[in-house]
Amino acid sequence: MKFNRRNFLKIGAAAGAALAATGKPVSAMELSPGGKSVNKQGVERKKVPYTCMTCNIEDGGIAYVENDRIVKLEGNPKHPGNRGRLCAKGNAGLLHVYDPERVLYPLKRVGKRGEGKWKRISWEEGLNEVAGKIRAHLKSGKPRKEIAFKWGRNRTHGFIDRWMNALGSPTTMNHTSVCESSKKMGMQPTWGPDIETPDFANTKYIINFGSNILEAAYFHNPYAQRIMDGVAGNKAKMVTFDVRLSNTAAKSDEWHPVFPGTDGVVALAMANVIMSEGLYDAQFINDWVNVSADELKAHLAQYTPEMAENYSGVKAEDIVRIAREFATAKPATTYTYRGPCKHLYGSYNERSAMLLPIITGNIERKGGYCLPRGMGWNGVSPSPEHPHEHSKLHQPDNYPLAGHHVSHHIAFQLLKGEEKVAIWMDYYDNPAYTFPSSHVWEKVYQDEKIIPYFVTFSPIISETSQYADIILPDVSYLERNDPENMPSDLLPWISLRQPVIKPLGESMEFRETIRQLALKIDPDGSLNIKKYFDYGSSENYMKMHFDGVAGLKELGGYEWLKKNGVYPDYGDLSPADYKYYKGGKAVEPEYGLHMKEDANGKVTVGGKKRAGFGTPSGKIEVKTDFYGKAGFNPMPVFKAHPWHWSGGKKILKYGQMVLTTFKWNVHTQARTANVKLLTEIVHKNPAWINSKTAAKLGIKDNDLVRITSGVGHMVTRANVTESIHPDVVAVSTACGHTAGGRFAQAMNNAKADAWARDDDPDLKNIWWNDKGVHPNAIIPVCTDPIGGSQGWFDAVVTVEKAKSGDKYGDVVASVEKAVAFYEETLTYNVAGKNHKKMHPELANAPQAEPVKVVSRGDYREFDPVQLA
Amino acid sequence: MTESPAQPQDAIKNLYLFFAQLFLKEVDAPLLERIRSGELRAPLEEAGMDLKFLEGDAQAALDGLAVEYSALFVQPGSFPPFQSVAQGGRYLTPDADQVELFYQKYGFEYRKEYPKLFPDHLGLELWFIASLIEAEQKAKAANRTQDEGVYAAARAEFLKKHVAAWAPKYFETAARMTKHPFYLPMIEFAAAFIDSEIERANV
Repeated sequence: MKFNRRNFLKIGAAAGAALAATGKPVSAMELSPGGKSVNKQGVERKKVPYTCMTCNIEDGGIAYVENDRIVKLEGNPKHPGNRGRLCAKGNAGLLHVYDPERVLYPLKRVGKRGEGKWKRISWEEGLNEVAGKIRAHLKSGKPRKEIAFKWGRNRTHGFIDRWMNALGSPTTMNHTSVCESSKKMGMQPTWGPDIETPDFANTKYIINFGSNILEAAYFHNPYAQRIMDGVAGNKAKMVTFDVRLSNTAAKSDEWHPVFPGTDGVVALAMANVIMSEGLYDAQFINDWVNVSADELKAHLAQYTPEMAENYSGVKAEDIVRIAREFATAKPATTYTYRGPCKHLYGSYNERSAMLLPIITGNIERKGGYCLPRGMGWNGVSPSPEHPHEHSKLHQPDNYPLAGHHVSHHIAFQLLKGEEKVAIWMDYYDNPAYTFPSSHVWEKVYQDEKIIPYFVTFSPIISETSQYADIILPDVSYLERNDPENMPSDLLPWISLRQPVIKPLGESMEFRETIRQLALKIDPDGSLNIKKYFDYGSSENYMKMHFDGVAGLKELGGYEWLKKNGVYPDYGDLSPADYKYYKGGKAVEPEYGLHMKEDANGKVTVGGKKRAGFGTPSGKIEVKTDFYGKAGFNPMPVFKAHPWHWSGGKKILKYGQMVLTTFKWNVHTQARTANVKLLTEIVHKNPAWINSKTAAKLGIKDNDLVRITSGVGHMVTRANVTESIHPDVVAVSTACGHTAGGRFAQAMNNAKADAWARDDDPDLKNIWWNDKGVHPNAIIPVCTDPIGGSQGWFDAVVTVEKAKSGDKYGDVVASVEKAVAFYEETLTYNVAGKNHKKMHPELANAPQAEPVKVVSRGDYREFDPVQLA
Repeated sequence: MTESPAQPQDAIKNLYLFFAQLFLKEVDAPLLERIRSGELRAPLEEAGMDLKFLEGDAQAALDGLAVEYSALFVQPGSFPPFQSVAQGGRYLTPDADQVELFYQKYGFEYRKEYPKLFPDHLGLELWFIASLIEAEQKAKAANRTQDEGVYAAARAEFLKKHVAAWAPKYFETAARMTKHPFYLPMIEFAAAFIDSEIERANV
């Protein structure tokens, strides 16, 4: 083209005429009458409390805001969970807000799914399209369950259920089976709640089974502080069983690299030692456990320390010693996270680990293993009922105890046509990256016959949302409202997540998007939907939650919470001991909740009825009928994984190892990958291989290695180290992204031609070329038939030096082979051929009663009564 | 015919507005018609632009333009035309405040709903210059010589402090990002125009 002043003037003149002819455009710029007073001396800095959501811990924060821009985030010292401190992810949180690769406008797919072609549309157009599709489906008479909603992180506290229940669809799908659901399903039948709150700060002994609590597990920031209080301030001893020398293991007094999935047998053997040596708390067992000490002794006798050594590799003498130390330390506590529970029979492992604090009477005592504390808020009325229709995607057949569902089966169920989907909604979710055999999800999302219409509320274009037909962008966590509560401390609390700034661009808070959709779907109320969404605004919805809460109400309810962020106010945090002080006295938690007098209690102790535990008997149910009635062993037992063991012998061949994954302290599974300050710290994930194992295989540090599972293979580099069990290869999550942004994908200047953004100053800061390799595609589905959890740490792989033609970053995975693993894992469920084989001890037990599978709501919905 | 003194300045102002529109929003149906069969076609073709690809079905042409607009300026993976992003790698750095303060200093306020944008969007910065030219023209027409000078100086200062600081490099990058028969020449055209403006303002 010829660019000269003559052309400029000609085109400019024509442009003037054109702009005049097309109607005067709305001016982007207005002259303010009299001009504005400009303050060059700076602007007011506001402090706005909020609740973090970079992960699921829900710490309290303070946002410092200038001119509606967040300039800094800090911990809220009034929040009893995190006591004024944020973790690295929390500190970097504002980068989620200002990420230039965030979706700020509704986008509509153009071209093929996943092709990356979008056009911006108005909210009106987007909402009309989605509402039109849903309304048409509802009016069509087709099954409502074909309207499906899958979430990955749901902190809406019932709002997604409200939405789906109002639509009359039971097809709400969560993520918990890739998280810790078998821990939950080990705990809930045993003592009621799905989680524990160990009193680390006041303990004398901690046994940590498979939790990297100083970095990544529930509730890493609050618990890391309390563990340090306990270890440094109270001289507590900490013993960690983990396949890998995590930073938690490294900070422990002892690290025992345990063979994957055998934490349970170690715990059972310790319990055996404690019972057989008379180190147990006879009074506690007598009062509060539903089996006698003699029954326990008889049951545990089979789990000798030598047997546990055979499976776990932990020396029998260490097992005996640690058992004695734990039983006599008083107070003492255990803690578990994914290590024990993410296996084929992970629920049994969790129940086995729970035995230790139970038989030593360390339950609900200062420094012990305590029930979670919580506070509630009011529900919002009216509230729609859960639909009566059943969806196998929500709750599959033959997993009667999987109260938190089996979400990682869904892609396979869809492939096999178990259920039909007409409209798929996706929220805070990325299964095409975070789920096992993630390539199967990718295939399902790509197939318009399986998912004819796909709407996402994602604020980023991830490995999953890239396949959406339409994006109605949600806001970041610093621009939204939610009520919050977590048992991250023994002082209970409720808190508010509130927008600290106005939503950027045209992004819209999910609760508001759904409200507008509902009103478009049912404008006159004839579909019985509108009335559940007539709350006016998200802020009003929060008012409905909080204004009536006793105690808070007297202070000013929601308005008070907006100013303070968290309720109650426990006083001033002392920098000396990090306790709260009121009137000169330290605020101490309440212990012995089960011992509280309660006229309706089921258990009488000391001549008085007590509150007890949330089980049918009110006692701790070491023997649980829920398991028994569903066809599982009612006692805590150990089941050796048939992929790893046969007749008590390890069956791994030369070069074979168990693949495990792990999380970093600076990353969630997927959402932090494009946060530059975090990804600069961790962006690659070489495979941890034990130095002796590596030597046998001729693998040197940094060598290119091929890791092959039954599903496929990946090519990565070796991190040869002493810090891992010799039979284990570990590859972290959070790396190897194929979508999500330039930091997630390490699109630096060297790749500027592909990315074409070489004047972006941040690209110059991406000094690394290596984005790592993501292992999930090659990890087969392996499901705990009890809790429904994915056995992330069960896959047997062969590790060898890379072959000719292998390239770093190769990931090759077969859908057919992944489906074969899915078929295999079904054989372990209660109706499968391997169920009885794995439970020979139940051969003479009464036949399990058929269990009715019930579709239920989705938030912590396990209701034992429905399984009784 | 002799150009009146106002005509070049009108043309320059309108060119700023034209580019502001192109960067702020997707091409809409009325503008498409002015480009492919209205008064814009001849001068654009004379400048060397081939507009044949825009002929045929209007909706298809608009969709094609919208997809490219999104790929270049809107969707993740594009290069959003904001001074903060270009200079600081994220939205709403203090640069955005400085730009907004500049607008306010001269009595201007940007419409945040057009569409919901931050003050340092390329389109808004160009629109602001157009607005300064208009204010300068009005001051001149009203014999407010001092105001006329203030607006002229503001325009030069804004070009120097803000537009010149990032837009030329941005155009260069954006031009490399596309082979699109409309957006590539338009970006090149905008780059040449802004370069000439910077040169003329001697900043």
